Amino acid sequence: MSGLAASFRARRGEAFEVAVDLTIDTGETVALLGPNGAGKSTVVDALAGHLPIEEGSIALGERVLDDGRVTFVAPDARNIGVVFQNYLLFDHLDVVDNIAFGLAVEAPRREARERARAWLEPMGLVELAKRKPPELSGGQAQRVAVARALAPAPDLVLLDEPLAALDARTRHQVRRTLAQHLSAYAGPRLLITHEPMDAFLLADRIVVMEDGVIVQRGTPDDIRRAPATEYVAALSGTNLLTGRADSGQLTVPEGPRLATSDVSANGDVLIVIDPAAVALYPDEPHGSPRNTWLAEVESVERLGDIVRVRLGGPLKLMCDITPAAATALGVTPGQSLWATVKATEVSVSPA
Amino acid sequence: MTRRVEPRIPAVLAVLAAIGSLLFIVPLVGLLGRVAWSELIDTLTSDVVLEALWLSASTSVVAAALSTVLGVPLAWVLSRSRVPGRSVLRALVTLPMVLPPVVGGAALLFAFGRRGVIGEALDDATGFLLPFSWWGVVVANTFVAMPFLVLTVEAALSNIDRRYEMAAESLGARPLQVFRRVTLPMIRPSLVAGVVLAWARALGEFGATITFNGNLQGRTQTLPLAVFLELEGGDRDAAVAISLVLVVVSLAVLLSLRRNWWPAR
Repeated sequence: MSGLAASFRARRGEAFEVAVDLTIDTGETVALLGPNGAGKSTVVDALAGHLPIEEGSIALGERVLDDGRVTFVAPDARNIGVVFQNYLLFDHLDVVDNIAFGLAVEAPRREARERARAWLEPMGLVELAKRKPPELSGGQAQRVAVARALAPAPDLVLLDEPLAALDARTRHQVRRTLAQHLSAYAGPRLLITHEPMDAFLLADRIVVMEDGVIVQRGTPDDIRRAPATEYVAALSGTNLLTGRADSGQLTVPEGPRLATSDVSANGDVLIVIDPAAVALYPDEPHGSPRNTWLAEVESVERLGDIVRVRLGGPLKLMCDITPAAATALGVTPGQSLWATVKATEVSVSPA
Repeated sequence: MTRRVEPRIPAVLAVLAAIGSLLFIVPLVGLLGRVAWSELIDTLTSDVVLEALWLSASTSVVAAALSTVLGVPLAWVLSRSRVPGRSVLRALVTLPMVLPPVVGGAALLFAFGRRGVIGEALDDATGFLLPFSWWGVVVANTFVAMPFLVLTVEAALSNIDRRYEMAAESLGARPLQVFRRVTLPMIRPSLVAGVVLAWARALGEFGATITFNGNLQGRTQTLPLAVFLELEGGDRDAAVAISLVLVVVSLAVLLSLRRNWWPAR
């Protein structure tokens, strides 16, 4: 068994086209991250064999699945395990029969059920063996879907928004167990998601897709440190501004001047500021050379053990502070506070 | 205490709906009023009625089975395939629902009769003639009944979420396995409804049957044909008694399977 090598153009309808190239090694998890409408499901359909590609090729190990011309392997012969969005468990079958579905294609029913039972224990489904899908919680249904996809020993596992159907509270827990189950599978793994947090926490590498094309690829750290587009920056909690740089002096449209120690780029630039690097004060701070401006608090939001404050005005920034600091400042929307950020915390890249 | 807001029915609608209901209730009352209850058992156990009962039961069940075996694949083709002329095919399949059954029976006769296109060849080759036989009744019944099944099942096939079939495919299921193990279970309620509807239509079939097969007691005389014969000049009480049987059986089936048509409220 070896990895996925896909490089293709695919078209959905007349207007929408995607162009991607993706390689995934065995034992590696790659996240395809993009907003809704980016073309992620078109990629899923092309890989799973529900949409023939226009040109290029999709190969899994030695096997060419689609070359856009003569070769097209039907979905049932691709041996790709798919965890579908909303799971698509078969409501008329119990948990064991759902897991056994792919095994029963080749083996007799009894043997398939026997082998499916072996998945109950590691997936924490022993108690639920006889339940029907409508009687399962979101997290349980997801585990059944993962077991069903992995049971026939696929050459690639494809997870299409596996966490999107879950509420915020269970999401974290389910994500952690999903990570465990995925690491137990030895083949290449592709995670499709619109949620950067899922990509950052589950993937070894991230491929960012917008409007049908790949706009950035790298490790989660790469992407977080230098998000290439506003979409990634906004969702991964990084401040991204556009402005002009002139040897360390930055101008943002209608905003205050900012100083940066980063002189690597001049002209039109993307300005990146870590929300944790923005500090807030009730009075104008004096002393050390930093960027200081008066800002109005737009919203305050508790995110786990940090408080995210959104600042309005000319510099719309997110800033993360500790709950203690938030209490001390008495941060409330509408309040005016002094914001500062060190020049060393402001980085730029060519736009 | 929970309080519910019941929809308020506008007076005009209530009156019209009441008149509409009466159209179905009054004839039933009329029928019940004519039943000779004291002789009911004797009438229903007479040879004529028993033979008609058996013919009706056997031919309608076989017609429903035939409609299912042929109609489900037909519905699948109409719903899923891209074969050219699908809408023409659908119109042809639906035709028996609109056509007077007598016309259908006549058409069957022209095709399968002794002089018919197929009938003559069949007669020459095997000596078997479809009209005026038990199988003739089955064919006439299937002709008028199958469209109900095809339409019901096709609607269900078009309405189910196709992604479940894609899920089955990705698990390695070949097209026939997908159909058998995912599609059929998913459309089960509609399939049951379609089979019952087809069976009920076959049970009540009159026009095509009498045109194609005549009215031969013990051979092609089903319950509706017996009713017709008795009304025309035989025993009026027998006609009423057979009608009562048809009403009771049909109503019982419709009631027992109402969940398949109308979701519970």
